[in-house]
Amino acid sequence: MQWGVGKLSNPADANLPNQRQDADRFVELLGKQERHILPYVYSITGDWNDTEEVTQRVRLKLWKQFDKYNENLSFGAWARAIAYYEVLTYRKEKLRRPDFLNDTIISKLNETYEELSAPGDERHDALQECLEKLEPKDREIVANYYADLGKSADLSEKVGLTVEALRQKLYRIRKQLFGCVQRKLA
Amino acid sequence: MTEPIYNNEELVAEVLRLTLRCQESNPIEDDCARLSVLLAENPQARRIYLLSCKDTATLINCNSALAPEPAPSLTRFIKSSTNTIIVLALAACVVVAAGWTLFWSDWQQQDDSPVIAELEQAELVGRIVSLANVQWAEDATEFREWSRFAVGEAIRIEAGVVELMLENSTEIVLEGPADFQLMSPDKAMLNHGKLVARCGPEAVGFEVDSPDVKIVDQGTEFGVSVKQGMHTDVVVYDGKVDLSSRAGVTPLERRLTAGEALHVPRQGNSVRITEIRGDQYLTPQYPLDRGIGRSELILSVGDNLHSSETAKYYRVIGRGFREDCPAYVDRSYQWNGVDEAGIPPGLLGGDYVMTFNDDKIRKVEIELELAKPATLYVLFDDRIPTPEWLKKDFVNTGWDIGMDEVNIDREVKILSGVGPARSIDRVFSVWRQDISIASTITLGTIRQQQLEVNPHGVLESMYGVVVTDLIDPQLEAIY
Repeated sequence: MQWGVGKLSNPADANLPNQRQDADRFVELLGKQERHILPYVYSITGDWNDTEEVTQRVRLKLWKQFDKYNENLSFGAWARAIAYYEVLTYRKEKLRRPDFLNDTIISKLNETYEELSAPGDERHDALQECLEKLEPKDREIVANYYADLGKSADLSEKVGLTVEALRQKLYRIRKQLFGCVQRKLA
Repeated sequence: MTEPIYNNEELVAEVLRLTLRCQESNPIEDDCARLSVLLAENPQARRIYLLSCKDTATLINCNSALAPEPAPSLTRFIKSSTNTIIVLALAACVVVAAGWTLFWSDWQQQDDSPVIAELEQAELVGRIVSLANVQWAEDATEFREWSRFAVGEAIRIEAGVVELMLENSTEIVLEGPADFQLMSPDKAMLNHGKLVARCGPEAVGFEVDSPDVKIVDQGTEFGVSVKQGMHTDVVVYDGKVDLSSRAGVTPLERRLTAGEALHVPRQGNSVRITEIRGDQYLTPQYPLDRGIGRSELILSVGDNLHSSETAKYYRVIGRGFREDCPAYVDRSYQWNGVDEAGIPPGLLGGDYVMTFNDDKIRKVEIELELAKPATLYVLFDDRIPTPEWLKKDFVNTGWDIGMDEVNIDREVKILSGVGPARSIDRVFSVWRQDISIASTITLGTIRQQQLEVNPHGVLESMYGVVVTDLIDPQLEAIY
């Protein structure tokens, strides 16, 4: 969340019909981009709690600056640019940051992301199809693990595996899913 | 999406394995170092990493797609249900191609309801920008994310966290159970519960009332905790507030600044709050502090100062000692490694106490109650002669740690360097004492006489305190 700067509403919000139109358009654009923003932010924060926080900041920033958005440009690119700077700002402000991501690596990841031309809905859809193909037990492990944001200790008890065995299991499932998705997209 | 990199099974396996490991709560350092090298040097590794992150986000969202904010009865049902529901949700995710799009369009449909249409006639003052695990109180108005919030409306929750942003740039986070009402564009009432507010320059003068106190923002971040019929606690994290109260024995009128906190009881006089913990008060970093706020090692922190001398508090942060972590409650200074090697490994991830730097002018003794055997570190400013108590009870480890003295005010922000060896202004030595049993340790003063000067003019800094699990002597070689 971007604390204490700017106003929530746009200058264009002088009357309710305009405000409503802006809000509708904003919601439409953001709705289309949300699934791209989240993984992008996640890739450069490396932590889901941070991702939620930064993504919320990005939404607010986008909304605050929506009156400056040029419809001739890609909303996704604009959103990613804002997300990139929000992550950098956030890293300066907050305590937590993954040791494996420094500013240089983040910058390189950002460039690579652009090269990937926003791996979008195809991957999302392919992953969902691949999930369907998993053994029910494996699907349950994936569901539980990501519902609890990776609390291996709790889940390992539930499924009767050691934490390390569960970790290995999850790794194998993810590798299987990754391969499945790549084959579908090939 | 058919680049040859994806045929490199070994690299895929390696990056995926390392990524999963490093995104766990307690990653192995060697794994993360390896991932770091791969990401820095190998474009293919970066692509694989980004794709695996996208997959992870999809998998998490599939689960959170259980219900963005369904009716309360359904919320309760889902929360109390078993794994089956989660698996069903995952299956649902397969069917529902765009959860967020549906959420937004659902919201838009809701917006067309007569209730919302009526609210649109009301003055727009803010929006609910985030809801997390919210359980609404009985008969309470239930809001959705991004819904409008107007004067006269109330947020009444039994549990969860609500974030609200007002047009005057005030941002408020509420944690349930709580009862909050917006009385006017510039005034709110917290009947009970906890909130943290951050007010921008446009919100100076914004007022938060409780049954016990009136708090007027003067450009700040502050927390309020109200226990109905009992007391109100006010904690200032940044800037200043004007606090007044007709409750208690003596009417209260005072200004609180960063690092100060007061407990105002319904009856009796207000007293200083000595210690702030993440689980007792909402902090500006919330919800980030959820993961790092609780200390298992430090039971309490106190000192020999009376409420009449100061209203400053100590803040205990569990597992929070790392690069760029804040050092004091009343300054924007940060701890950092003095060179590229970073913070000494023995300190990393330790529980620590944010002391207050104004302490340095007083003859203060800090009492630290430890819950179990621990290794206690004191980080001591090299500009100050080493006091006898430190020489007597502690051993100089030979480690150094840096202080990045960031100066921030509301108009001009002088940013700190990020990470080790950047913008280091002062060097502190790290002293160590092993405490073999749970006990209370007294840390002495840095000077023998109290100074009657403005502490900001004293070119010395108060010591820091870090506590870690007692180091096994057999493992000491690691350090």
